[in-house]
Amino acid sequence: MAESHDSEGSDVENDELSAWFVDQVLPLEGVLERYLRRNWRNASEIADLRQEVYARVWDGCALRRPDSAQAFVLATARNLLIDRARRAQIVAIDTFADMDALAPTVDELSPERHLTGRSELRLLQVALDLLPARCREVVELRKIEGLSQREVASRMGITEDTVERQVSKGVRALAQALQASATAVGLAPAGPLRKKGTLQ
Amino acid sequence: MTSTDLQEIEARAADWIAERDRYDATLPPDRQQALDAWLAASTAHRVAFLRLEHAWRRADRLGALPASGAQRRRTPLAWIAHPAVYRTAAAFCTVLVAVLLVTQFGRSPETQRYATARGQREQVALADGSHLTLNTATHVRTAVTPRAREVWLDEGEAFFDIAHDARRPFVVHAGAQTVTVLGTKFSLLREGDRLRVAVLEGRVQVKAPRGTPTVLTRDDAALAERDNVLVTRKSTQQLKAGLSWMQGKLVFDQATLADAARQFNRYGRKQLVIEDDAAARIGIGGVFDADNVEAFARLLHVGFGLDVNVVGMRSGCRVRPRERTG
Repeated sequence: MAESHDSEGSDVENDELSAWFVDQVLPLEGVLERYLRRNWRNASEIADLRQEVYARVWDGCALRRPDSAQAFVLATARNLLIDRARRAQIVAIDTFADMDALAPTVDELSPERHLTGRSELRLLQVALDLLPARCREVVELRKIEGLSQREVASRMGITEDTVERQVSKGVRALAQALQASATAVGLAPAGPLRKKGTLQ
Repeated sequence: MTSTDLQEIEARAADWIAERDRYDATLPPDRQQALDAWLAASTAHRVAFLRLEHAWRRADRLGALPASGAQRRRTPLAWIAHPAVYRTAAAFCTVLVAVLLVTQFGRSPETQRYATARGQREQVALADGSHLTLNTATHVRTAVTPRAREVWLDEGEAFFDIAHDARRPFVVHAGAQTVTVLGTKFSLLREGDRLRVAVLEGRVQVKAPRGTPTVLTRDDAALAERDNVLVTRKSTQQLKAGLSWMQGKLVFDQATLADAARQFNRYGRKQLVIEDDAAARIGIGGVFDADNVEAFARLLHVGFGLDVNVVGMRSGCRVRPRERTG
């Protein structure tokens, strides 16, 4: 509930904020990504912008959660793009056109479609298949066969450190692949909806 | 924040997640303290960590799959897994290109086909390290082998950033014209039989079927049609303005409204129709979003007092002087 006046935020508050962030904000990644791509031409900067939006949302919601995470995320994205455009010193006429176009469309404000368990699984499968062979094998053994990292190491005949490095690689590659497929298919992935106590 | 910063943060976050995963989600106290400190150091750390952790936890659902990994992989979607495709799939749209590629050419590794729809822009990374940026409504085919590098520009416009390789000349076929390069950056716009070339760096050679080869260097622009190649020299500034489409922008400098409309109409499904000759000759300058013809039309209304009629969502805007009285 973030009633505390302690601005630094205790661990409990951070945990609650984290839970809210994971439940409400991260599932919007596809929506956010599409919004950024549509309104920002330099594709190489999209990841930075996404990260910056997340950081601003986190800081902005530390004390009070917005009613609609989606509206807040998109408004944050819009403000960020405006800031960036201003800093880039684009001529006034261009900024005019841009600002006008930045208003989130009705389409984006409609409730996102949640994936059923089955399509989530297919999305994951596609993401998994995108990983480099060795990395994929590690992730498969860990997640599908449910082996521990130590067991994976002995099964594959490699060191535990190597397994850990492959997991680290797999974590990033999965996040990237999931985001790419969510953006491409136009679906926002469903977040876990089982947290106790809603945070409003 | 630069992208290197972000990559470092994500790498560190992923390392933490992997380390915790090694201990089955419970780090030793000292490591947990170190993680907490790292998270508390910056919101950027925290959100990157949460995002990656979320992805890793989502992967738990993979446990629903049968453990016999071998059969599982032959899913209808498994063709996306081709590593060469993944490399180019950095931008999500490329997955769509891959669909086209696979459906058109099956398993042939020789020729690959890439296409963009109207208003779309696409990056293509070739196996030799060269990069192509395709503009709106563009079709190319590429063939990169150990001995040769060839691209066919069937339609549209592309920017070429070619990796230097003296033993493998890079040849672009654009209709009757052939453009040969060693290592350079340049753009080609094909309009039917006509080819526009603009060289940003290095040297390229343009050859018509029966003409002598013409060599272009930095800041040269050429218009090739049949056996003629007309070369003009431009300032780097002008040349870069011509490449503003790579940022999704249209730059007009002393263009007429008719020219501007023609440019916009290359990008959008919505077409801008200038119904009045006098209005078509109005001079226009500025930087605009290539895919936002409505904003441009609104600007015409506000700035020049032209009437703008939006004729349905698809067909676009009609522009004419306000209250025509003859």
